[in-house]
Amino acid sequence: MALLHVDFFSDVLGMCQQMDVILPEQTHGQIGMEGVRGEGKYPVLYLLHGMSDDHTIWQRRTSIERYASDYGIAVVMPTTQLGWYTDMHIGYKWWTYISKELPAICRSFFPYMSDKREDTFAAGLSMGGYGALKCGLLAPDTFGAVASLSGGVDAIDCAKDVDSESKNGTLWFDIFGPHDQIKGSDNDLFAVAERLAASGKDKPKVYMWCGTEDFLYGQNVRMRDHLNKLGYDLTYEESPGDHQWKYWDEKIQTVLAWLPIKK
Amino acid sequence: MALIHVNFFSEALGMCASCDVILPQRATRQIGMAAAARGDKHPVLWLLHGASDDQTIWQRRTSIERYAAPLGLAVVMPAVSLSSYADMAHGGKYYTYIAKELPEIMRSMFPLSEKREDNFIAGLSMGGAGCMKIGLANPENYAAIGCFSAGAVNRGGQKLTPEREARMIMTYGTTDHDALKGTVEDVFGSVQKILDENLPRPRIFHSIGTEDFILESAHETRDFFQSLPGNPFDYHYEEHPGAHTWEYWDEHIQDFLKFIALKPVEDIRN
Repeated sequence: MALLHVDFFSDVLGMCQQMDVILPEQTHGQIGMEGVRGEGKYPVLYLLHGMSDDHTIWQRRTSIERYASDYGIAVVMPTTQLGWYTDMHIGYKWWTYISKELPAICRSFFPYMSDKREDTFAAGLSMGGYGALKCGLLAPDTFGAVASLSGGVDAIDCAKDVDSESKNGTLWFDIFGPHDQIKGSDNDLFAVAERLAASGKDKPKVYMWCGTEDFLYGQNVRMRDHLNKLGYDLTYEESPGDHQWKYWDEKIQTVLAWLPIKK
Repeated sequence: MALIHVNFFSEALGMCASCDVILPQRATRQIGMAAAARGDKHPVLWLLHGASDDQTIWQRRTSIERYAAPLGLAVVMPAVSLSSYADMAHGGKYYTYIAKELPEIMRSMFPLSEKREDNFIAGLSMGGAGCMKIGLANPENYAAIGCFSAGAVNRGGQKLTPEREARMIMTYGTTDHDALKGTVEDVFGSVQKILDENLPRPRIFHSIGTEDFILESAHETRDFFQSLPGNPFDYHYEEHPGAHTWEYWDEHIQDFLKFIALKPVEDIRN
């Protein structure tokens, strides 16, 4: 695998951006790992960080390059600050950036990155789990399969202290706007899932995992039941654990094995 | 333009290698700079560092990204330690890495043109000699060579200090340049081969400061090319006030970017 640190400009955000990218590389003389580079274009996993983190965090807290090497898949790790993968009420257009501009930029930089829906995936943890699920439900033409680890999948619940004098100040208001306007909006993934199911369009495959001690566990159970009721192709798993990297390090390997990567 | 720091594995070197890449990007809202990109594949400048430096140095000492931006030119900046871009007698195969392997790896990652007319190689000091060696030993791969502050062979005017002798042994296995005749290290031999076999002839831009300690080697190279009837390499020699310093290279790398005469990108956006 090759690791690329990319500095570039986003027209959507109007500012410079960074991302880390792992590209498939077939090696013979490198010790302990060979990698796989298939014929033609390779699939891609957009791997999203959580609140407090950035594009470097998956590299630093897990062995994602080693885990991905057997699958011949590229991994794109962007950074989106505290933006909840949302076109913010007051702030940056992170959703447009992540769902439209970034895939276009990656395909222009890396011509062997597949642009097919069935080769394009998203996964993430916590806020990034919400982002990955949003990619699948709100941009189903772009993403064929998505995975949420310990995802904050219920924006209404996550943002419920919006009007309080909480430590977060105006954070939730800046992201989602007035709390009573989240329901039914593009940021309400329960509503978005219903709309997609009703549209008759192709639905993404979905993987979810959450620890049973996680403060987001209840949200994940509700989303599981919701997606099952709507007929989504959902693989749901839970196990003892809370909101920690030792679980995400393990579960991202489960996600890679679950992804519908064509051999 | 995007700046990409690439870490990958080189089979030629048998170890991990680092390379910085500037990639044309159409961006409309970035302040203070025009950005341009051509169609699907970009022309490429392979830009080589000197002894003591690495893949980051052109970015840190010049504004190469800004100079390349309006041309829609990709710039690939590898690192070769102190190898003199040679397949070392005692060390890695850096000539093979730069001349053969790196272009394949970069083209497998990025949309870089493989056409000869879109490929240029330049460098300073050790990289100036390196780009002459690589460009003239592989004339079918490069349209132009930009040699800065070097001769095609850096020997005249430099005393064979113990340190330099040790580096020559490490690099070539000998301190005798004449023992390298007939190898890729024999740049004037490569020139003769191009003429004898009527191979494609890269254009050559050669620039050095009047106060540079390598001036004597550069003059030897100048005299050689200027003695060739009809100037078959469109050889262009310049001397400007200056020494072996980044002020010189920051200014005069821009001369080379004019010399390669890329057709301007029509849809430059600000």
